[in-house]
Amino acid sequence: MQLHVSTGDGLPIYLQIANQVKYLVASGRLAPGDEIPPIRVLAHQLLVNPNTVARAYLELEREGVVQKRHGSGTYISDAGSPLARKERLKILSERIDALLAEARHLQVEPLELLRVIKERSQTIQPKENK
Amino acid sequence: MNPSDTLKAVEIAGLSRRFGAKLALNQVSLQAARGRVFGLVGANGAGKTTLIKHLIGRLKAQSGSVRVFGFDPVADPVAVLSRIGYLSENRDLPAWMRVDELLRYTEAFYPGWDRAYAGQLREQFGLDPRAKIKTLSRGENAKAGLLIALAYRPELLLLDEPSSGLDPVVRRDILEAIIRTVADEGRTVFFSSHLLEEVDRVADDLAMIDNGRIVLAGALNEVKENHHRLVLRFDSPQSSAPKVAGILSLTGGGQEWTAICNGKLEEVVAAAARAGGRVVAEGSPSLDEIFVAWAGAKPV
Amino acid sequence: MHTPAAALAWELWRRHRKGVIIVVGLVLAFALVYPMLCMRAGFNPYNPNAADEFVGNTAPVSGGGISLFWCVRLMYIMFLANGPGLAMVATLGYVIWIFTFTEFDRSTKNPMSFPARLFTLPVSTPFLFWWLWLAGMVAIVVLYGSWVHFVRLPRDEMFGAYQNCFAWLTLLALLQAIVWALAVWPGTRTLLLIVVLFGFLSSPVWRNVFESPIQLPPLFLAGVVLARIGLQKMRHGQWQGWTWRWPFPAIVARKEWREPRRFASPAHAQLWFEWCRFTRILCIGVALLALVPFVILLVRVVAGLAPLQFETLLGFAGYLVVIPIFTHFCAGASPGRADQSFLLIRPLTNGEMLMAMLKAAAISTVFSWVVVLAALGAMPLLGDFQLAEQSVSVFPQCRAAIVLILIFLTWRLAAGNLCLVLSGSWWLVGELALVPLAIPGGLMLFLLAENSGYSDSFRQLVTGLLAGLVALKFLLAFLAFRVSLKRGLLAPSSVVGYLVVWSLLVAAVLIPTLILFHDEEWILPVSLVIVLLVPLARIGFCPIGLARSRHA
Repeated sequence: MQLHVSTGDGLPIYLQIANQVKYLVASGRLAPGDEIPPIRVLAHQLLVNPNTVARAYLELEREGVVQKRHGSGTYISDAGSPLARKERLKILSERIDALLAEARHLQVEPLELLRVIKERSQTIQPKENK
Repeated sequence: MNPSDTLKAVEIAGLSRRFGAKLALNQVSLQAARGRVFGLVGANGAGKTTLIKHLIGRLKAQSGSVRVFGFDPVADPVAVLSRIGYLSENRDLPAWMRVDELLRYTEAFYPGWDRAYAGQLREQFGLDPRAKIKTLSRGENAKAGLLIALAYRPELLLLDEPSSGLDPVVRRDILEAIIRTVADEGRTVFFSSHLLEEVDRVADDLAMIDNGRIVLAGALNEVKENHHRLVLRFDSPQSSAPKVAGILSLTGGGQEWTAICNGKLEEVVAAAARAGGRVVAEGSPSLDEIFVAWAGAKPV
Repeated sequence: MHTPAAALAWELWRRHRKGVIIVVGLVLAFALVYPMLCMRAGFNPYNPNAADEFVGNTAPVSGGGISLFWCVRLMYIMFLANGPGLAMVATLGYVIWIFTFTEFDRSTKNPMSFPARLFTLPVSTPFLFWWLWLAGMVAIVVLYGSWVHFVRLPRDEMFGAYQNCFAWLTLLALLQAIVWALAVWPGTRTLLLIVVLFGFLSSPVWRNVFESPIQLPPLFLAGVVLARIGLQKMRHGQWQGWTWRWPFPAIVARKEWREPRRFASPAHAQLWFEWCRFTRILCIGVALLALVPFVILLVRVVAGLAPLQFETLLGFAGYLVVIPIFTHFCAGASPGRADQSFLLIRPLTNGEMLMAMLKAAAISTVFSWVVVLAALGAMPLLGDFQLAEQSVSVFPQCRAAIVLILIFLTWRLAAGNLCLVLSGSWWLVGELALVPLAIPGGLMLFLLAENSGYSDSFRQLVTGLLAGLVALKFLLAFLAFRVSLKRGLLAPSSVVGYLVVWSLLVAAVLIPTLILFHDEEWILPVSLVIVLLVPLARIGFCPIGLARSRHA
C-alpha cells in the first residue's frame, strides 16, 4: 500500500492517510479482506508519529472502512458497512457542505457541480461497497 | 513514592534564567508526558538550547524547578543522565577517539547497552569502526552521536536541533530513530527544532518559545485545529495592516489580506466585519505559518 | 584605505594597537629616562663588569650585616644592568609575533595559521608574501636600530648574544616559514617551532654545547624560500599533510576488525579516557625530552667532538630534573581541561570523574620520574659525572628526600590545581604564579637574616608563619570536605580513603626526615613545609569546582 503524506498541506496528516485509504478502496486497489500494514510499520514507512497513524485507523474503523480482527491485524471490511445508511449520509453531507461552500466562492453553479460529479464518478471505477 | 513512578517524563515549573543582563528564560512551565513526542520550536536565540541544558544539568535553575522522571538533574546527575540519550547541536564528541573506542567507552556507563543493537545501528548508519571521529563528515558525526544516544534504549531521547545542517538522508535516519523510540512502549522523545515540517510529522505535543517565554503549548492536533487562515477582503484598499481583534498576523496589501488567527472563528469574523472586511476564503494554516504569525512575522 | 597594501597595514596596526604603543613607549622610556637613572646611580653601562664591581665595592664587610637597603640597591642595579636587554628581547619578540600574522582557523581548528580569508581576496600570492615579509623585516630593523642607537645598552654576556640584527631577521623568516607553510603538518610544525624557539633563546650557551656558532645565512634563505613556496601551496591546497598508509599491505595483512572487549567498570572506562586524552601524550613527551641529552651526546660522538664539561653535565642533570615538573605544570594548568562538554554529561558522579583524573596524574608522575631517574643514572655515559656530583654538596640521604619531595610536587602540580582549573575561574590560577616568586623572595630574606644576626628570630618568624599556613590548610580542608559531603558530591568512603592516603604520604617523607635530621635547626620549618606540600584542601575543593563547572 503506497501512501504519500505532506505537511503544510492544510489537511491534517491523519486525515490525509484516511482519505487516501478510502480512495484506494474506492478505486479497487484495495479489496475487501486485504490487510493494511500495522500502525508501527506504516509509521516507519511514512515517517510520521504512530499516534497519527493510530488516529487515522480509528477514523477508518469508525466509518466502517476497515475492521480490526482481534490480535491478527487490520483488514478492509467486507461489503455491508455496519453504519446505518442515515449515518453514512450524514458524514457525506458534511463533505458536501464544504464542497458547496467552495463552489460558491469559485462561482460555480450547483448544476454545473453535479455535472462534474457525474464525470468524475465515471472516471473512478464503481465498486459495490460505499 | 518512587520518583520514577510519575507519569510525566519532564516537568518544568516557573523556570527563569538570566545571563548577565539578558533574561534567557522567563517563567517557563511545561510538561512532557511519557510515551509521547514533545516538540519545542522557537527562533534562533529564543531559549531552546538553554531550556534543554537545564534538563541535562548543564545549567542550574536560578528560580523554579526542573524534574526529569521526578529527579533533579543537578542534585542527581547519575539518576537523570543514565535515563537520557542526548544529542547536542554541537555534537562535541572527542575528536581523538575512534568510532569503536567511542562505543566501547560509552558502553561502560550504561547497564542497558545492547551490543547487538549498537552493531546493527552502526552498520545501518554506515560508520567505519576504525575511523577517527575528527575525520568524520558532519552527517556521520551526527549519526555517531545518535548511535551512542540510542544504543542503550534510553527512557528519554533528548535532541537539541538534531537536523541542523544535515542532508535529507541523515534527517530521515533521525526521524526514523525518533519514531522507533516512541513506538516502543513507554519511551519518550523531547526535541527542539526549527524545521517545522519535521515537527509537524512526528510530534504529539508542541510548545513554542519566543524570547524566553512559552507562547503556545498543547497537543499538536489541537494547536492546528485552533488556528485558522482567513483571506479577508476589505471594501477599500488599506495602506497598512488594519487592526482587527483576535488576529495574530495580517499580511497582504490593498484590499485583500491574509489573516492567521486562533480562537473562536465567529468572533473574529464579526470583528473583521466591524473593520469593513469579509471572509472570502478559509483554510487551515501550516505549522510554518502559525509559527511565523506568533513570532510576529520575524524570519525563522 | 585605497590600496590593498594600505588595507593590510591598517589591519596589522588595528589588531595590535596597544602592543605597538607599549613597544614605542618602552623604547622612548629607556632612551630618555635610563641614562639619567644610570648617572644618578653611578652605574656605567658600558663597563661589562659594572654589576660585579658594584657588589665588590659596596658590599659591607662581614660583621657589619647586610641591610635591607643594600638588597634593594642590588636589585636596582640588576635592573639597570639587565633591564634594557630584557626589554629589547621582549619587544623584538613581540614584533616578530605580530608579523607571523596568524589567526585561529575555524575550518581546520588550527590555532595558528595564515588567515584563510586573505586568500579569497583579489590579491596575488607574491604581493601578499613580499609585502608582509618586507614590512616585517623593516619593522625589525627599525626597532633594533632604535634600541641600539638611542638606548645605551649595557654590554653583558647574557643579553649580548641577542645583539645581532641578522639573527632576529632569521628568526622571523623561520617562524613565518613554519607557521605559514607547514599548517597541514601540525605535529611536525609544533616540534619545529619548539626547536627553533628553544635554539634561539639558548643562543648564549651554544658555544658550550656545539663548538661552532649557528650558520645564519642558509637558515634565513631556507626560511624565506619555504615561506614563499608554502604560502602559494597552501593557498591552492596542494599540500596534504601526512598521507602515508600502513606500508606493505600485502605482506602484513591488517588484522580483521573485531569488537573490542568491554570495560570492567565505569571507573576503568574513565581512567582509559584520561589516559588517552592527556597522560599518554605527557608520558611520551617526557620520554622524548629526557632523550635529548643522549641525542646530543650521539651527535657529538658522531662528529668526533670532545666529551662534555662537567658544568654542562650538571646543566643537563638540572634540565632532566626540571622536565617532569615543568611538563606537569603545563598539563595541570592547560585550558584543554576546562572544555569538556562531552565528559560532563556522562552519568558519572563528580567523585568518580575526579578519581580518574587523580589516578591518571599519579600514573604520569610515576612514569616521568622513573624515566628521569633512569636518565640520570645513565648520565655517566656522557662524560665525567663524578666531578659534577662532587661539586653539588648535598648528602646522599638528602638527595633521596629531595627526589621524593619533587615527585610530590609534580603530582601536586598536575592534579592539585584541578579545583581551580575545573571551576573555570582563571584568575585563581594566577595563584600558581606566586609560588615561583616566593622562592627567590624567601631565599633573599634568608640571606638577609643569616648575615644580620637575626637568624634565630627569622627562623621563629618563618616557623610561626608556616604553622599558621598549616592550620589554615587543615581548616580549609575541613570546610571543603564538609561542604562536599553535605552536598553529596563525595562519598564518605572516598574522603576517608584520601585522608588515609594523605597521612601515609606525609608520614613516608616526614618520619625519615625527622630521624635523620632531628638535631638540625631548621627541622621544624622543613617538616611544616612537607606537611604543606601534599595537597589536602585543594582536593577537597575539587568536587566543588567540578560541580560548579558542570552545573553552571
